[in-house]
Amino acid sequence: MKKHRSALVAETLRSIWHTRTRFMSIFIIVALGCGFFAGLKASCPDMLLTADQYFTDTHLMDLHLMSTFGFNEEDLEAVKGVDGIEGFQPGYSVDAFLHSEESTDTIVKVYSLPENTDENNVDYLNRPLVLEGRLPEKSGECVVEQNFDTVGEIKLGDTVRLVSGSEEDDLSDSLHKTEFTIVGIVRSPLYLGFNRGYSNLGDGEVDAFLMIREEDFAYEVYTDVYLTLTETQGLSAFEDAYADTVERKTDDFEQVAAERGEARYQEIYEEAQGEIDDAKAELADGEKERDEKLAEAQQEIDDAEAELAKGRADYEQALAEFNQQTRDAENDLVEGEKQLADGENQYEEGLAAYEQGRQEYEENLPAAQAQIEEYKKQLEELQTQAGPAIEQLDSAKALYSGVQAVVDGYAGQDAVSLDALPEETRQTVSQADSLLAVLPEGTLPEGTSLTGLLQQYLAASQSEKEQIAGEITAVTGAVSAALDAQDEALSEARSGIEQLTAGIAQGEQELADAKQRLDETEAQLAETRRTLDETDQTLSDGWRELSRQKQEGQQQLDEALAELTEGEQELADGKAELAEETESSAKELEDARAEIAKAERDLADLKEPTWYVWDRNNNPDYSSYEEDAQKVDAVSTVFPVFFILVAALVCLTSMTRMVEEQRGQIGTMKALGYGRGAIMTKYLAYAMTASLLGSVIGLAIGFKLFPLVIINAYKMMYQLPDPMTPVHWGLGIGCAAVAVVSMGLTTFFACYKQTAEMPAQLMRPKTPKAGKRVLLERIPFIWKRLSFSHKVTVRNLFRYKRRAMMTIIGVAGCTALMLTGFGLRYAIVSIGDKQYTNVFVYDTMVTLDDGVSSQEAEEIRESVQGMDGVEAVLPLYSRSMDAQTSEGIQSVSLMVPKEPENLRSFIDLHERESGEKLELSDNGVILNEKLGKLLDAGVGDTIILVNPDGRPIEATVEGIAENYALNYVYMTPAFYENAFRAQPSYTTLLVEHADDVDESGLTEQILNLSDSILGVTNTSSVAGTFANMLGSLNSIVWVIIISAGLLAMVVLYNLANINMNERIRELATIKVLGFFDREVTSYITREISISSLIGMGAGLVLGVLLEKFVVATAEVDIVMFAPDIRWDCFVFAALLTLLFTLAINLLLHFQLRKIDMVESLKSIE
Amino acid sequence: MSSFVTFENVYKRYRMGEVTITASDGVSFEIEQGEFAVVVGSSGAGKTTVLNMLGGMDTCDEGKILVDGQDIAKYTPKQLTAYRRYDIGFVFQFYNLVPNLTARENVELATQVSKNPLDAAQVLMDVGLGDRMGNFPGQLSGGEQQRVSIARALAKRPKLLLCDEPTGALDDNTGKTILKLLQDTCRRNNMTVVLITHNSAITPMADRVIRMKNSKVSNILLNDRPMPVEDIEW
Repeated sequence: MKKHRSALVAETLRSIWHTRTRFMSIFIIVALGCGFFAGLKASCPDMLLTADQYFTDTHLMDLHLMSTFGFNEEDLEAVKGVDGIEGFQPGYSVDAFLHSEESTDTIVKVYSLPENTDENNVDYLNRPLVLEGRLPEKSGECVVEQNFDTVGEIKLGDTVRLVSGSEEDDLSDSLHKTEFTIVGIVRSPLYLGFNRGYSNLGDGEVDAFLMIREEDFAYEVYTDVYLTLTETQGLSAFEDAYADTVERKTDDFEQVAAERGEARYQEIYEEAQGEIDDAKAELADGEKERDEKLAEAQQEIDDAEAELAKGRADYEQALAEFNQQTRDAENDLVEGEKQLADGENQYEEGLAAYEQGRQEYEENLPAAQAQIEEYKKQLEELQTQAGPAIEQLDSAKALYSGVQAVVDGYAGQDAVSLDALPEETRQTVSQADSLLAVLPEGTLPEGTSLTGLLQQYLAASQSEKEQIAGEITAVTGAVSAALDAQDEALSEARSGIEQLTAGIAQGEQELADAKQRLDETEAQLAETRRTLDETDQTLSDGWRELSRQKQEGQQQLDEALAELTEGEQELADGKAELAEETESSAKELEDARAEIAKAERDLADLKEPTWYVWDRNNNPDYSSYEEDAQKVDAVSTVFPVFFILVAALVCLTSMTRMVEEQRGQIGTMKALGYGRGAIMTKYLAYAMTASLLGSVIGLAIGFKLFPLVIINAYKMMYQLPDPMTPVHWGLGIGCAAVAVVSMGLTTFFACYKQTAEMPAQLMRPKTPKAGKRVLLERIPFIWKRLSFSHKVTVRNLFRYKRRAMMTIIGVAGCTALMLTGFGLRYAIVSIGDKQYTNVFVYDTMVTLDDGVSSQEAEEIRESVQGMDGVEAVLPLYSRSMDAQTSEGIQSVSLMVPKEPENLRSFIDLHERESGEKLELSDNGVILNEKLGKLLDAGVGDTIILVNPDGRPIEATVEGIAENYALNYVYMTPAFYENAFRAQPSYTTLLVEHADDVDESGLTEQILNLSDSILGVTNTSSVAGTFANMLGSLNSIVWVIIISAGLLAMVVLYNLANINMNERIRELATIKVLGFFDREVTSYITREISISSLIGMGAGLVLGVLLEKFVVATAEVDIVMFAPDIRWDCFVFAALLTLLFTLAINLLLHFQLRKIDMVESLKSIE
Repeated sequence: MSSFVTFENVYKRYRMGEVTITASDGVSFEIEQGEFAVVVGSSGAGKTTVLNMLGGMDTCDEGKILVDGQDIAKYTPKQLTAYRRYDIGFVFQFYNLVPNLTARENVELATQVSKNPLDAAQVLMDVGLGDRMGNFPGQLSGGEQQRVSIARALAKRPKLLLCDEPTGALDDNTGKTILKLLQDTCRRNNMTVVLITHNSAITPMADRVIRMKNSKVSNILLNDRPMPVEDIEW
């Protein structure tokens, strides 16, 4: 027996190998079914698990306490006093604008990080997940998140500035610093989705959060307290027990809140009163100081003014003087020039005279010189003639006088020795004899010597002398007479000489005189020339000097004038400054007074602090996440039904075919003595092995793949860490068990009948199933019209009902799934389109600063109205609040158009199905369709609106309007004023412009209009954004479409394969009959095609229902999916189904070609 | 003018893994127009291979196969299909009727694809099934099914009627009536019929007997006086 079994096992294994295609088809369909079902089924728990693990890992708070007054030490102590606190973290938060290089209108919520960020610190809650960089380590560093609103605007390493939204507040109350360097990009468990809550800044919606160190906050008291509870440790955040526990503990903290509120009120009231008093005193001081300062400044200005006046006068005088001096100097110079000209003339005249004189002198000179020469010759002649005589005579006369002198001289002296005589005397004495020569011969005795006489005379005594003297006189007397005679003789010559000499001297003298005169004149002229040149030089120097001085003087004057003007300007500035100072200080004082007044009013209005005790659900994303997870679960239960059904059909057909094929073998085995059980075991084992393997592989992939795809898809809406995809053993084993058992049962049914037959019967070929007439043949009208091959097809369809059903169901499922996929995709993607073409028909939205005055808003409106291409402008008041009924609470945008009668051309409020237009009235509000559905409020019902200040009002619903994205409540200004007791501030402008206008140009134009314009949004660009936001569902849709395609492929291929194998003989025969390949293919594929078409039709019908269900399930609160399915979804679903069918047919075509005609010759097995 | 059918040194080899099996080893024979030829031989003698090649269901590796002057050995697959479609009528051992079609429809299956078919009803009447036309194969006896099969082959007005053990699955008497039908068709319509059988008893009724052994033609015998089928005993 054992041997039998092992042979049976071997046979089973071998037949698995031989029929591996069939085995694979069961394997794949089971894998797909199990994987799909279990995968989708596991997605919900995996989503919740992923989130819960994330909350646990990041120590997300269970409760968040906030107080309008913040928490001081006593408050904190009181809170800590409550039992059951696991982690306790006080912190700060403030809202601010984030100014970075790229943006200025990002609103951030700034949180504090505790000092101790150690992992083991149980009081370190809401731990941010660092995605990039690190946590701030020192003051001035921050970490931020990156999301849709901030992406591209802030990045690691940037420095950002925090700015308060209002003018009076510079954030110094809340922060020590306003500049922060981004050191990390984080994600916080506080924000599961992308809802960042509301703020009173800007557009009212926080865009992102930022975390800084606690020390950078300037608050005196903590603004927030976060808690985790001991009792919730280990509980899943999505369990009921968790919600119960948190609710119970909330009551305890509300108790503390009430107690602490009263105490804090007193404290704050007193403190504020003290501050007001201080402020008043300061104000008084300030006023006094201001007056003093202003007086002083006025004095300074007066002084400066006087000084300037004087400076101006001085300048004028200097200018006059300068002009006069210049004029005088010019006159002098002109005069000098005239004189110079005169001198020049005279000089010319003198020069002419001199030239003439010179010429005359030159002409007379030769004649005069000749005359002189003549005289000189005559003189020379005369001198030669009379010269020596005269000379002798003269010397004789001289000697004579000498002798006389000796005689007279020595008359009184005795005996004078010769030797003692002076030389001259002695000479005279010795020469005295020569005198005697003049005497004519014999006049004197011979021997008379005068010298001797003289010597005697000298040597003689007194007495003797008389005598000798007498003797001498005798001699001398003669000599004298002789001399006189000679003299007489010579006197003519002498006078001729004298005359000639005089003549020569005169002539020469005259020439010399003339020459001298000429020379003198020349010198004089040269002198004059020099003087004239000098004068000329002096004059030109004078001009130059004058010009230089003029220039210099002018420059000095200009400088002086500039200085003066400057002084005057300074004075003017000073005056203006003073005026400004006066005004601004007045305003400052006014402000201070107003501030004090306001503080007093505020103090009067001071209410007891309100404490809020919030759990995680305060952020709507937490509850919507859970809902989304459950939606996935709901969707997941629908789809797999098809797979299970189809899997069973695939298995049934495959196994039936297998049993039929192995008919002979079964008979043989039976004949050999194998029992029915043993034989059936083989087939059961075959099918169950395939299913078991299929389910194991399917589950292994499904458990990972589907949660991964779906959670990653939801990551577009929620910020989650990496998905956790554990194996869900219970689910997995359940799935596998269902698959194996159902396949087993199917197989059992497939082979039950077969194995019951007798072996002999089995071993004979099975009588071919008789052809049957089908119903259609009873209608000859149609039947006759069918072509022959169509008849074959129709018969075959009815002959193999089971197979046809399988095809129809499989294809119908495929088509329905794809229609659902495309329909869902359309429903999602078309939201933006429909919203902005059917409802929000305005083109552009302009957002103004909240603080803008109504007057300025009106001015901006008019400017925009006046722009080119702008057709109409409507001011609108819009703000976020909550709408509530007993059914639930939803956050909505309240819309108050300033002129409700004009609203239609901007926002078209109408009933969706009937298209009936809706008008706003002062008696009630209009809601959008989805909001009405969510709140279960219809026309005539009452809803409660809660604005952020917490004052709820009631409103009657007057209309339900078509709308797709977000939730809106519309009301008239009159209704708003009446209900909220406040004026709406119209800070939004809706703009309708011509179609051909350049939108970006218009946007820029509007933005440049005023600083109060925060933003300009064009609907054309917004429309696409919604599609992106909902892209998460989009990818689920692709999962559906792809799975549907797989399903169709497996089913069709399986069918085609069985069809072909079963009819291989028939096919070979028609090939032998000469059918072309194409004809052979169409012979068999026509059947498949018709089944597919029927399936497709059924699928389209079924798909509509399925799509409705899925859309209803998948819809999120803020969105209404388009409720219709557009024609192209049907077309796509149908086309894809056809494509799959064609693909299978093509595949079949190639397999058919391979069929060997020899098969037709074989005997029937 | 050569014969209507000529096999000239035809070789066919099958490769089965390492082994090459020669299914036709230089087969040569001729069949004249209007002849009733029987190819006879034991199992594995190569007669089916000859039939396959002659019927355009298989190609030869070497040699010539002339049918009505055309060398079908050189045909492309598509030409072979056309050849089967227009020139060949095939009668299978196991009738190979499409179970889902009535007798008449099975005939129509063939007439639909031929150029100049006979009327399906008429052919069925000719083979003696005038009153069973509307029946499905499952409702007919083996002999009747084979008649339908013959009708299907004849309706195409083939040049050549090939029969693969047409009596193999039938009892003797029914087999005889079938053979008679074939012989009559041959005689009446001057149809060339090639019949393949392992049953040598059939040979006396043939005009030409081609014996095959070991993939070769061992003997060709011309029978001037073929016996009427009724007279043959086996």
